[in-house]
Amino acid sequence: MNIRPEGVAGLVGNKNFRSKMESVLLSLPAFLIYSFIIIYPMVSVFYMSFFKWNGIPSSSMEFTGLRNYIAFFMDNRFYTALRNIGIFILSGFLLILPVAFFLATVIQSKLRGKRFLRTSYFFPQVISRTAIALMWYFLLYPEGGPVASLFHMIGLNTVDVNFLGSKIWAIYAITVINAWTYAGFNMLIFSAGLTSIPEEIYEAAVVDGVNPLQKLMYITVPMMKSSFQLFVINCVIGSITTFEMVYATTGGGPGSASEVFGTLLYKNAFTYNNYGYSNAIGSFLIIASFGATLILNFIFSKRDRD
Amino acid sequence: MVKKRNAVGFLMAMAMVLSLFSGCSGNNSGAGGSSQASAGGQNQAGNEKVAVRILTRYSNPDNVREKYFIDRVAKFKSENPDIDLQDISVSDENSRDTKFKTSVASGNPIEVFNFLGYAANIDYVKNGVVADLDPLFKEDPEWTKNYKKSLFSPVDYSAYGIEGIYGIPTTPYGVCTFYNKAIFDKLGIQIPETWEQIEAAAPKLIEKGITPMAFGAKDNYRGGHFLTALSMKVYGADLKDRLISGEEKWNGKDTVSLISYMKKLYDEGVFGKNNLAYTADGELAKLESGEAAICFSGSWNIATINGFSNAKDIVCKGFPYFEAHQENKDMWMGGPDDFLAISSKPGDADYDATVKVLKYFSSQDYWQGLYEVQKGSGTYPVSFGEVIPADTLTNGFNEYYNSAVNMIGEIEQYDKMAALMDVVRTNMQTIFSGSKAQEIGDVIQGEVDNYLASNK
Repeated sequence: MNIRPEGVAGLVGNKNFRSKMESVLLSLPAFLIYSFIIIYPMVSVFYMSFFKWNGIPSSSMEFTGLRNYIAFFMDNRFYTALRNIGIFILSGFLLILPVAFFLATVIQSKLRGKRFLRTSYFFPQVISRTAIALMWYFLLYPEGGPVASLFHMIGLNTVDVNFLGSKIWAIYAITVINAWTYAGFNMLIFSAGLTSIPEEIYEAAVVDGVNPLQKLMYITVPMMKSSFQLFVINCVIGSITTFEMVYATTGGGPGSASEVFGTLLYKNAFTYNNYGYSNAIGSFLIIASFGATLILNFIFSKRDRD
Repeated sequence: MVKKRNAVGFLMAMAMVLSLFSGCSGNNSGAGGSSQASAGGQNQAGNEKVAVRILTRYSNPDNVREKYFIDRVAKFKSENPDIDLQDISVSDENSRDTKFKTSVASGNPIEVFNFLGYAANIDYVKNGVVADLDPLFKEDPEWTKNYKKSLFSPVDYSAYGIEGIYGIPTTPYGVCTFYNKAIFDKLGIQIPETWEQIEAAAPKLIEKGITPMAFGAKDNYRGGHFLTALSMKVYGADLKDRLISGEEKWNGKDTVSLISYMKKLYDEGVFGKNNLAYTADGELAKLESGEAAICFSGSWNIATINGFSNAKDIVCKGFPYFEAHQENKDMWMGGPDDFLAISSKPGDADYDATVKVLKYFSSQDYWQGLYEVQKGSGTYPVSFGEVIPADTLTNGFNEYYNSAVNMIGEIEQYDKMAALMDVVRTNMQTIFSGSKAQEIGDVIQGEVDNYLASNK
């Protein structure tokens, strides 16, 4: 089809067309940058996951189809990691959520010095994860460490206090460290939610004779739905992709007791030279995170509609 | 007016897109330039510095040997202003591996690096990451004339059909045992040299609140070293050969019996408690403080132990043997380890500078300096004209080391499965968190089977 010159000129002169073109052109740089730093690596991860490669550019890549995925799903460590991620998510709801919510109410109260408290609670978030791991390593040190000493002081001499060196307790110890680190960040999310609730509603409730527990259950929690939704998505995605805290404390050990998908990915790439397999784990992580976000958003939007 | 605003908006949008593209193209050339520079330094202008990176495991200034390396890097820089030597060394083995592997995978391998050799690293040789040094050795025979020739075997891949020598040895070692003699004297116990004697002495030491043998299992290599050293005292090199050929399985009777013995020692309290809470450095600290009576370690720690406040109380002997296996008393874990290698090839812009760095850190002058700094203690890849009278620990070590009739590196190093070393070490670690010997053997063999299945 030939476009007549006057047709093109007419199109360019068209206000609606120009406006659309402007939108496209203005968003193009952001789209290109996004594609380059997010889409391209993701596509590359998926592509590489179908090959066997040892990480040496000059060595040949052997196409293996779905073999990396099958091997990953058949690996016992996949199920260990899955279980540990589950524990992480659960600890988010049982530890981080109540603590962060409580801290949010503290910094939203009329307490004196709440600015100091807010900074203190948020402080772990700005410390390097390696430094946190080192600090907790000494806190949990079984010979004379503060936690072990506390256990002995209260008469629990028979308890094996080597938490990070225990196949059973290591993952739980890490979730406690994780909760300590992230409670402050989630406190801010809940604090923002609390701020958005108009004071008049509470005042009206007081007039109606509502007690504090009823205020919490029937006003605060329902009106903070979006904060809770944000927390849930953060908690689930953060747990699925967790890496640095586990790596810095136990490295996934002892054995593979505290392994998570992130540590498996890292080890397969940088210790075992299984880059294809490692990319299969990476692909799984991308799909799992994306899938979890979709499912959670679907559940939340369905609830909103209902 | 509105028309004019729209036109300006359109033009701005166009300009933004165009600037992005031109930025990209500018970046491309820039990135290429920087990549070339970091890849060892294109000496574009005659007076421009050539960048050469060096990656070793020497970054801890508290360690005598590492401090010496750091000082020599500074000296090299002052003597060679035309070479921008970038020391990216890191003491931690895993971090070092990650740095090296990342540089290789990104197509920009570090120019001078410490290479571990053996079959486990054959892929790097086969795929041309590591340069053949043999032509350089032939070109400059003076350079290596004092090196002990037997130390080159782990970087000689002729058995695999690859000609050449792919590294120069830096750290010959022997796994040995240090004893806090003062503790044994105080308790009136003779220093035990066999496992039977150690097991007999253990209850007396434990009764006094002393750990018989410190074992810092937080460093997972400790378990790997122990297994190999123990296997040499029971089976000589035979078990290693059988495991590598596949004749013996990792969950086979002989291997499991060794792991069981380790487990037995742990259960008897020979290794003390909370082993997963401390590292190899912790072992030395316990030996110095008297918390532990024995520390199985290696010759690389002799200089550090000489710096102990109670160094005169420490004696060095070979790794304990079994009275029931006297024939293997002089079988050792040890030999060459850590080679210095290069990735640059003749014709590369940074080749001459890289070779200069390599030669500097493996020269006779370099070793002579270290020999003097360490006052003759420790082990060296070269022989010296004038022998410095060594300290008691070195003499003790040499007495045993020189009697070695066979010496091997860690068993997993001889296997082509690159992951095997970590698999074995990580699983040996679980002895200290309650795993059974058979379980450990089964997990390791499972990994080996998976590897073999995927590499058919």
